[in-house]
Amino acid sequence: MKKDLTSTLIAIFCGAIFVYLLFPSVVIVLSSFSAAEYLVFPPKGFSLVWYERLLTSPKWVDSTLISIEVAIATTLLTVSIGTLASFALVRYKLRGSAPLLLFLVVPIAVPGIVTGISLLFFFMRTVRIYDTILALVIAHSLIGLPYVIRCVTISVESLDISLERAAMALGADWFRTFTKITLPLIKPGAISGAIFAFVLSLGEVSISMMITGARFTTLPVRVWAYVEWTFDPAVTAVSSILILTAATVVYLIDKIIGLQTTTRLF
Amino acid sequence: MNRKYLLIVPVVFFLIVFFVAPIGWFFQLGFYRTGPFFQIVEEFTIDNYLRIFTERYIKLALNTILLVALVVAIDFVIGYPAAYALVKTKSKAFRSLLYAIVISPLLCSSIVRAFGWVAILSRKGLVNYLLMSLGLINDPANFLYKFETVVLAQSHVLAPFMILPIASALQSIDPSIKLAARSLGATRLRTFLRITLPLSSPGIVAGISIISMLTMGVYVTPLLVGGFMQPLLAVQIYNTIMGGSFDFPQASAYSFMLIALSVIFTAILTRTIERVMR
Repeated sequence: MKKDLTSTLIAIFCGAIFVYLLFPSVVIVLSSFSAAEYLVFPPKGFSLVWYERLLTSPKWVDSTLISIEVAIATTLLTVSIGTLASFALVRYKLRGSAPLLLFLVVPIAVPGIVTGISLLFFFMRTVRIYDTILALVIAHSLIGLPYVIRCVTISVESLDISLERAAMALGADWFRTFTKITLPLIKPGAISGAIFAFVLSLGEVSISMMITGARFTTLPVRVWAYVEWTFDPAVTAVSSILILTAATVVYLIDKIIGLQTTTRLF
Repeated sequence: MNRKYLLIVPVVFFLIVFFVAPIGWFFQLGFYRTGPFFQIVEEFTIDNYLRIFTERYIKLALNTILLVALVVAIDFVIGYPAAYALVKTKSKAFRSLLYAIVISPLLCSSIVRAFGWVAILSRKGLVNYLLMSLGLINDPANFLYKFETVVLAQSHVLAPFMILPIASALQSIDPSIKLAARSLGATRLRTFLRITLPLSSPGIVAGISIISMLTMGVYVTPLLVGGFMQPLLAVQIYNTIMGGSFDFPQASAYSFMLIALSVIFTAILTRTIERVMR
């Protein structure tokens, strides 16, 4: 491999790009250990005071619990209906499966503000569940469902149908085959889809900002309020925790389906 | 009726009831008007749509398109080399690290990522600190609430959406084609321009489409780093609702016009790029 000037320059350029991508996250994490009362760089002193404030602040604890609750419910909903649909679409080649798979992308393609306002209106007028956990779960599920179905589909496509046929031939009925053979084999897809749904729900902000009421404020919406209106340095601590969560999730996804597979999501 | 259709009923039901119906109703709302007490007056009118053909709106639309063009260009310049590096890395552990750097921001809330730029560019932030300690300026400069800042932040946030499709396309290129070109005497540059680049164009087009659609409708990041007066279409929709007037019908007209413009512009952009790649 010829190592000449061009190669080295390109390598440095690429390295710079990756540093650039990482840069804001690093700044936030470093700033969260500051002892100062406001956001200043470089951080003055080293202290965990903002993390302590976070744990003792009722508003932040409240939002964190709400976000986690909504994320768990969203994950359960999307994974259950998504896995069933995914399996049916890939295995049984039902009529309308191609249009349905295409249509699933639409909730992600429509601008968050449009979906947000539509749902706001819908939840205030038609199905009056404005400012409830359920409303948030529905909104987040619209975003999470495509990812779950995509992940499970990847798993189902690599499923060897002869395994199921063997089980059936040995006397198992459809339900038993599904639960004992199929489901365990598509676990990687289901779990990675679940992880995506969970973490995308935690971070969802475009739609949530429109449908959030005063009672149930999710974490990202509260971060928005605190950066936009009254600045609270605890925001850096919250942000660091979210960054750390994302990093952990990436590590988990790598262990389960391998990060390179995620390129197939596109 | 095939019993197997039951498996997709929940998803279809969910999408129709909680997505298609609300959006449909919102679309219908665009043809009503808002009364003096913020109530919806259900009389048919196309005033909301007529208000789109004003100079102010056209300027907003052009500005948004400019944002999209700049973000796409920047993300291509950043994204292609990054994707190339991602695919070419031999060490599995290092490659995982690079993938982690690209993917983890996507799993972080966009608000956190925008906040990162606020922290870097604010008056007491990193950039001002560096400029002042180097003696280049005396007072902290105002980097936020500018259009350029929105371009910077937005391109940073969406960069992974360019990197991943291109990486996927590069991975699917048969390496023997490149080897054949090289063995026939082509230089590395020529191989890249004539073989790699064209063969990776599906990834480039995919990345451009995603970024274009997302940027046309973006409002959270611009609001955070650019302020409420930022001349962008989605910001205007936000201000129409949250800015005090609660004008849902008008917001509806603006929203569906935004969707139409997004689709049309993205289509034009991708067709142009495809033609250039030929």
